[in-house]
Amino acid sequence: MAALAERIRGGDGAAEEELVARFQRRVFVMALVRTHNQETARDLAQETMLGVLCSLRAGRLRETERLSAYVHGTARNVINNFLRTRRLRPEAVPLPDEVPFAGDDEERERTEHEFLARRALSTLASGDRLILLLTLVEGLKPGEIAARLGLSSEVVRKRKSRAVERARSVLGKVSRS
Amino acid sequence: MDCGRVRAGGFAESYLAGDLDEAGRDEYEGHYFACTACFADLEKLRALQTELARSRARIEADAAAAPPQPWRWRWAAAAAASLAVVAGAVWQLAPRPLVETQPPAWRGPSAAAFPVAVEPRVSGGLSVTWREQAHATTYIVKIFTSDGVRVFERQTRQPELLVAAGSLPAPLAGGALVVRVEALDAMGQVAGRSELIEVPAERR
Repeated sequence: MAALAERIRGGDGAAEEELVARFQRRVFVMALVRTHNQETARDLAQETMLGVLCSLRAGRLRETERLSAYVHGTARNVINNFLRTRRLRPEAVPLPDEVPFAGDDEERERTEHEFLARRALSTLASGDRLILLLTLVEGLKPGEIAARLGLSSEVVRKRKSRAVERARSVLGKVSRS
Repeated sequence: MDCGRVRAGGFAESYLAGDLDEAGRDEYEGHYFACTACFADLEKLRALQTELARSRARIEADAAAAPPQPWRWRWAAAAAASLAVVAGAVWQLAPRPLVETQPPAWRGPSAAAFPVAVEPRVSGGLSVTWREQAHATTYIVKIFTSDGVRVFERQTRQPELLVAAGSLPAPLAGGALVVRVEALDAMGQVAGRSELIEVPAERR
């Protein structure tokens, strides 16, 4: 990571692409979890990566070995600032041409994930699918699911863990993971 | 934080479910920013979460129709109760003053689902109204097709939203829609969810 930061500081365009390929998707997921809005999350991810690249180009990151933490911290600041102010990002601030974007490989991998997710769900019992739905989509805790389904919390926890692990084993077949 | 603790503690599942406190969320994010394996695992679970949301209606129907085991009978009873509430909601769509006497049909992570009223607009589209929720600074109105595909999402600070007809699938093509409102706190965390309201095609 430190070498990557140093290469960017030295004007290496390939290093910038490497940085974006590694972190932009992470920032997008983080922003999506916090804002629940895909368009906003994309904007915040781009804003974060632009800020990080500008800092690295200017050599403002002194502890270059802490690059991951730096990107995370920048993303947190950008997202929290958005959430605090709720103001829209200024219009007409396109990224400069030299800022690279995630490529086709990432898109292909997501498509593969979606396909395997459907397959993973098809291997689960209907009750286990329901428990996953209530957990991952509705955000219910095991106790709440247990009360709704007439099960004990322990049974819900075990079935949820089993279902997640089974899904993971199917999803683990993604080619580039 | 290390990968073993992340996996054993179910951090990825809790993160996606919005179930981590701020410190836990920061710690987990800091880990997956640096860890390729744990971020790949998070992406897989995100795909699973997306597919679960898309398949919501079918999953609920399958669970309600599953062979009779004791807990499934209870689920079937709960589903029947939900259907009764949906029927009540359809009745509620008749043009008349807003009243909210329906019991919650769907519970959020930490509180009972709050009521929401959906009415057709004379000019087309829908009017979605609810009461302000404690700790909420923003609301997200989400509209799904009956098979769980999200077709509309909009944030608002007011406890109401007018959805233009042009923002929704054509009634004949789209069939019934399901409306839900999420209340977010100042940090963007889900502070509460509304009940689900089904809007038949003939009502819009």
